Amino acid sequence: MRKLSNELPSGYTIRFAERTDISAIMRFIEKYWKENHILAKDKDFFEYEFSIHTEKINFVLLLDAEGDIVGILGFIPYDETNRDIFTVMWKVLEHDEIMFGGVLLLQYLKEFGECRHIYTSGINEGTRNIYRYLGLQTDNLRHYYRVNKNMEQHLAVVCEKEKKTESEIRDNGFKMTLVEDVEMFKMKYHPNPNPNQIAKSSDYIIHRYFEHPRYKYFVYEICEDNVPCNSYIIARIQEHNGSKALRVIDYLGDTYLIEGLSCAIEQLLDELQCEYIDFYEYGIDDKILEHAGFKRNSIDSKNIIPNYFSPYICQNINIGIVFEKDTNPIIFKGDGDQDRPS
Amino acid sequence: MEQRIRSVIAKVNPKALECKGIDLISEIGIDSHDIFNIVVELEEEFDIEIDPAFLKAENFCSLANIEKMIQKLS
Repeated sequence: MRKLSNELPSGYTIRFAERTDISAIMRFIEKYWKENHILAKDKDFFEYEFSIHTEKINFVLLLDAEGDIVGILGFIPYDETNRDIFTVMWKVLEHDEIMFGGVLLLQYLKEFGECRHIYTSGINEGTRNIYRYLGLQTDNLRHYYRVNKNMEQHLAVVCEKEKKTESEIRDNGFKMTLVEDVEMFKMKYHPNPNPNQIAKSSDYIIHRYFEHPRYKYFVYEICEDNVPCNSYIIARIQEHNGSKALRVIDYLGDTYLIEGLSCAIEQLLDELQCEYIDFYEYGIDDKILEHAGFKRNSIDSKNIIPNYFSPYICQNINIGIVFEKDTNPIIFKGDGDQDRPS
Repeated sequence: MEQRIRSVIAKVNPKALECKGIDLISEIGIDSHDIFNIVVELEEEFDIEIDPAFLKAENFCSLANIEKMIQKLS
């Protein structure tokens, strides 16, 4: 990563946030990010989001000579060692005295956060070149979907007729079993040892998906012939006007297993009465998703698979991502803050 | 050279085509975000690498200063 060596003006400081900073950070978000943002209004949710694994608050702050916050960079660590982290909420006020304060925050996090790799999802398009200049890779999540052929589509706009393929009819022994016992999950789940995959601890998964204060997530364990595969697919239902969509939010374990889930997905869509299932991801082989019955959607497609439901917006959108070169990560919609109430 | 630089900056801020180019910050209002966009475009246009040490306001405040910087790096 290229490194800026700009010095801070006299009196300015960069440091990690403490709990005593929470109110000031929330005021900053309210004033400079979005007035009615949940993180500006709901202190309990703020603490839920930014104090996993720690008594500290997962923000880096830029403060001026008066001690006022002029820049923030939030982050979400995926285990207690901060090994892999996603940055969220990056905002620095434009100031005559300091240039590139945002980059200095990012550099501080990389240097003093003791993290292996930094990632970002849902980037502002105006920042893409900042990341590129710093030597980071940028791309977009890929968007896949699969319609429920037994239901009319009221949420998505799907112009093509979907054809049944052999894999959709054949029950191949793969099942998705809902996990409701958190202690059982903790005993059975082992983070994927693949060094290229982002390492997510069981504490992170439990906090993120079993203990979420606002959303109901479904955590399904994948089994082949009734043998658990240490792989999980995590989804959430979103509704509008009585119609439901199933959104895949995260995936844990070996991604090749997704290939065998075509029949199980078809059954799940019927069981949950969802019009379609969609999957924003990066890093999974296209063939795996295609064999599972998914089709790829693009932003300029005539088909529309919406992402926003609160409020509902019938529009294809890109979700930009950033990662360090030579990491080859696998990233999902649930990473960072792309599936969070706003 | 000046025209090439103008064209590059205009990709980021179209006002660059018409401005005097003596004080870009007050004439067309470029900020630190814009500077990164301009740097990436300049690197591509002139096949140079702009080291972080050159990311100072004075190097980007005028067309003449940008040209001086590019000449140093070429």
